Amino acid sequence: MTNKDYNTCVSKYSDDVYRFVVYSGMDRESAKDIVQDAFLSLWQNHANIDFSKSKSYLFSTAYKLVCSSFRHLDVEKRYAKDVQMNSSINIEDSYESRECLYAMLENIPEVQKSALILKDIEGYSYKEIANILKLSIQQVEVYIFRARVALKKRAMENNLV
Amino acid sequence: MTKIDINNYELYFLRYIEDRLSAKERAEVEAFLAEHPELQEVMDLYDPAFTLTKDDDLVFADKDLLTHAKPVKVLPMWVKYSSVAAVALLLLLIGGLWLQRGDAVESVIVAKNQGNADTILDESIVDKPVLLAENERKPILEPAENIVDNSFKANESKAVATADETESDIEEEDNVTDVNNIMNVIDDNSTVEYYAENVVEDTPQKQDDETDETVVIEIYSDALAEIVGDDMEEIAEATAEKAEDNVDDEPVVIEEYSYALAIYVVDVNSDYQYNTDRYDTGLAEYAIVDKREEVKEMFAQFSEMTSTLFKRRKEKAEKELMAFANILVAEYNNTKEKINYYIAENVNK
Repeated sequence: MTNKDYNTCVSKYSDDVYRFVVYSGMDRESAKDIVQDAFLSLWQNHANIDFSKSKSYLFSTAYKLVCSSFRHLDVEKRYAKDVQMNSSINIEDSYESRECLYAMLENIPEVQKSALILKDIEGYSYKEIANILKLSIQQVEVYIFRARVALKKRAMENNLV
Repeated sequence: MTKIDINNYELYFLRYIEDRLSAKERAEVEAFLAEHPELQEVMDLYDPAFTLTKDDDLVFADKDLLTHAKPVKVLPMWVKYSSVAAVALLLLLIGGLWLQRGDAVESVIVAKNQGNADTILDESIVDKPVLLAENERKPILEPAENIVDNSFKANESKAVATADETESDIEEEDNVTDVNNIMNVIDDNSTVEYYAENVVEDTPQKQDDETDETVVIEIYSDALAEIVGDDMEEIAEATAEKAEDNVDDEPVVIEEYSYALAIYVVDVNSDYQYNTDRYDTGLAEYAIVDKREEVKEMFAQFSEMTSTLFKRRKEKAEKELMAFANILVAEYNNTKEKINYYIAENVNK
């Protein structure tokens, strides 16, 4: 991949990677850092990465960084966030409210959430998601199934559907 | 493909809903559900319409920070070499500082004043055989002419007071016209006294704001020296562009540091400025004498952060380093005050 290709990646994919990270539950400032780090990694390896694989590389890197960030999050902080979210979902938000939907994503395991985001938002195939998340296709299918079921279940519990 | 069972039913449910099963497999799923009616609820909870949608308003606004800079251009030789020389000098300076760990050591202070043939030498120190073993301690500073001469020879050996040097060796340097203060700091008092007696009075003074700026520039230059190894050409290019075009581009930290380095290079090639710089350098060294580990850590962090080449990180790095530099400048001013006080109390009487 050339310098020009790299810069094309920036203009084409940075929004997508940023959205992926934010939907994964990172705050926006941390999401910016993760996007920067993902692109830094792409830049450092751009000579060895084919342009056609750059987007999956970025998502794959961002996913690892998100998981790593969550591992470092204080457990109590996350717990407090969960409690707050549980109580705040019981409101009159409409089912269509994206914010509310993404808020419900918070409690879904990271891998399931990422698989669902890649499927719904980015339109990746199960095979592509498997490649990005380093899972088998069957695992991806199961995770997406579980994520969507969990999402619907939570929406029902909170009278959102 | 294996048959549906209690461990893999989710996979089959998904494929069933998405209509990706053969007629036989569909029949197997239906038979399985008949056996496990409690799982029908799970099947029903999977709603393909319950999907996430893209929020087009959520965008990464700082794309320009990710776009990588243009390729490095070929540089004029003088730019490359003067930068190399400056970096070598700066590395020597900072290396010399870090070599001086906190353990008690004897100091060697040799100084000559510009335009004054009298060698100013601390007798008590000369009497003791404490001149430096070459591999142990190196002087922080070197004569101006050495710097000028060696500015195109990055790796030339520096003026080092070795164990083989004698008093006569040192006296031979009396004719050197610039201030030749090789300073290793032992403790506050000896250094302050040394400066008060030997350097301060005869060293050309600068305005306070100028000296402060010089200290900061030198600190930055040292920081630059730390990171310069990997990005020499890029930094040198930035220096060249900045120096030649004097273009007020959007501030890019690495260029600013390069510019600071360029100023420093010019400064050390001027005798007058060099003397003044050395005075300031000595004070700056003194100011950070108890902070070497902190400085080292700061530079390491700085190096790591600036290596990202991203503006936001660089700004963060710059802020932290600037804050630290301010502390050092404050220490420097404090030291200067102590020296002035000492002069007022002792020397002028």
